[in-house]
Amino acid sequence: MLRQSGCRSVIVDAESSRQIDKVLGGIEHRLTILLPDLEDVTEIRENLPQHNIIGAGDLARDMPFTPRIAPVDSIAYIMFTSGSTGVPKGVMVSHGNLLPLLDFFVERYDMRAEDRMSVVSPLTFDPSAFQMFLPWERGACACCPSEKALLNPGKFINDHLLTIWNCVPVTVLFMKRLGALKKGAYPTLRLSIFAGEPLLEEVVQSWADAAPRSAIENLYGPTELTINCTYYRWDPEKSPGECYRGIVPIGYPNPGMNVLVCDEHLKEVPRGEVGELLMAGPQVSLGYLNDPGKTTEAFIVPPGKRELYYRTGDLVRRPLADEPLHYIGRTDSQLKILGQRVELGEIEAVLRKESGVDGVVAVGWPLTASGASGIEAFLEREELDVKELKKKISARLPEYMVPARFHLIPRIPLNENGKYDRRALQEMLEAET
Amino acid sequence: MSVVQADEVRRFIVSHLASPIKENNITEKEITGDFDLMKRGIIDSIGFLHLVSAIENHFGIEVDFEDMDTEDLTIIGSICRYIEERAEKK
Repeated sequence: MLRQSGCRSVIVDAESSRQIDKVLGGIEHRLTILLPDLEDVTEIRENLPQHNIIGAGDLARDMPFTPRIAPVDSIAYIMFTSGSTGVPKGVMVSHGNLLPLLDFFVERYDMRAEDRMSVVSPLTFDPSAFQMFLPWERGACACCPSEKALLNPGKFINDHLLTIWNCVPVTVLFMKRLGALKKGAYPTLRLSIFAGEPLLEEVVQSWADAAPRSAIENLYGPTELTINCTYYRWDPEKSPGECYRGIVPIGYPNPGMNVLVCDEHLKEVPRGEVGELLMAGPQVSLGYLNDPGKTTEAFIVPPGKRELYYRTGDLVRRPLADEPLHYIGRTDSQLKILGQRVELGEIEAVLRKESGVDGVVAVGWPLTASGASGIEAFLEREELDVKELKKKISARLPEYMVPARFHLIPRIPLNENGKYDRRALQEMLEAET
Repeated sequence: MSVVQADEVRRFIVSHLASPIKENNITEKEITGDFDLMKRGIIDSIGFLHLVSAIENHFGIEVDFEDMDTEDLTIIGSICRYIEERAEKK
């Protein structure tokens, strides 16, 4: 039983230990059994010679516990992210990076001991740290579904009476297709947090119907800036007008974090213009493990500044006055096609709107030294009138932005973090030639 | 009224998943009622989603998993029984 379920620890109390004898007696695999409330474990030890029995006496003798306070500049965790060259980079995040983030969100979300929050991200993806530490800060419950339970996230929410849900937006599309977003389906949720990829306005609308009592928040942040560094609260009245190309804004920087929107020469772009997002402040991590070269490339002091900024590689629009930040795409999703600057996100937004398909990716192809000479589109659909779609797209986009081909595929490949994998699509095109 | 037999669903699933089944060197004989598609590495969560869509299209029914036990979701016999029941109710 234990081995099949992959279980490594079983918690029993002293009262039930007699009954447990029978169960544990049938297990050949050597287990370590801790009975911290039982002084005399001689009898149990005799009954279960194959196991390692530890009673209160064994524990008290040599296990005094004094928590060690870690220095703030010491490493809290190292998270590996996929590098553009395919070699993972280990991002070193310190206690001092993590503390301001947790302090801010614990207060902002008014975390309480009664809260029950989902831990759905894999431990290799930094939102998992957010999903654990946030509830633990206030003694709330971090609820972890099994791989199977994740096939039916809606049932998990209701079975475990979750109050806070945090996932990547693609999970919502998954639930939508399984018919799991019925009106009022998740009455226990008081807060839903989306992060990890652009959040579509339609996703929010469907979620708002399914979780009517829940506030909705969109967070943004690369691993290098410690999980989440901007936040945006969805407002049903105001937010639809603030969305840009159907994408929810990423909002405002966390307290203490400074924003700079720059061109390729690290000069700040004028307000309202698109540029690369750079951020400085307490959440700027310690850099890449054993890679000073990549660290100095990405963590820089821009001309005329004194602080260390991290270059996110993400394009945002520099806000006019007190507007929220808008995510536009990756700097590498901005391509030159026949000398014209093209943002793949814009093409994808038009494709989604005109086709009604949610799963859409545009890639530059074939690749050239200065960018690409054309665009190809992938749609997650088995049948579609491609001719008709191309006509509609041509009416809305200049010719150089209209995809040369539309590939209908049953599934768009995802990378290990559940995001659309552009490189895999380009490899598919490569294999074709 | 069309009647869907559990065995028909089973045949459909096996043919839909023919290539991953072959890749995992699993023979059709091994695919008994308690065969778990996820534990045996035939499908992941995305594969599951596509299987559900394929079943819905093929049998013309709408699948709603709310009432199904999570442990049973990827067990072939449970899926077949479930689809059979759904089709009857239609």
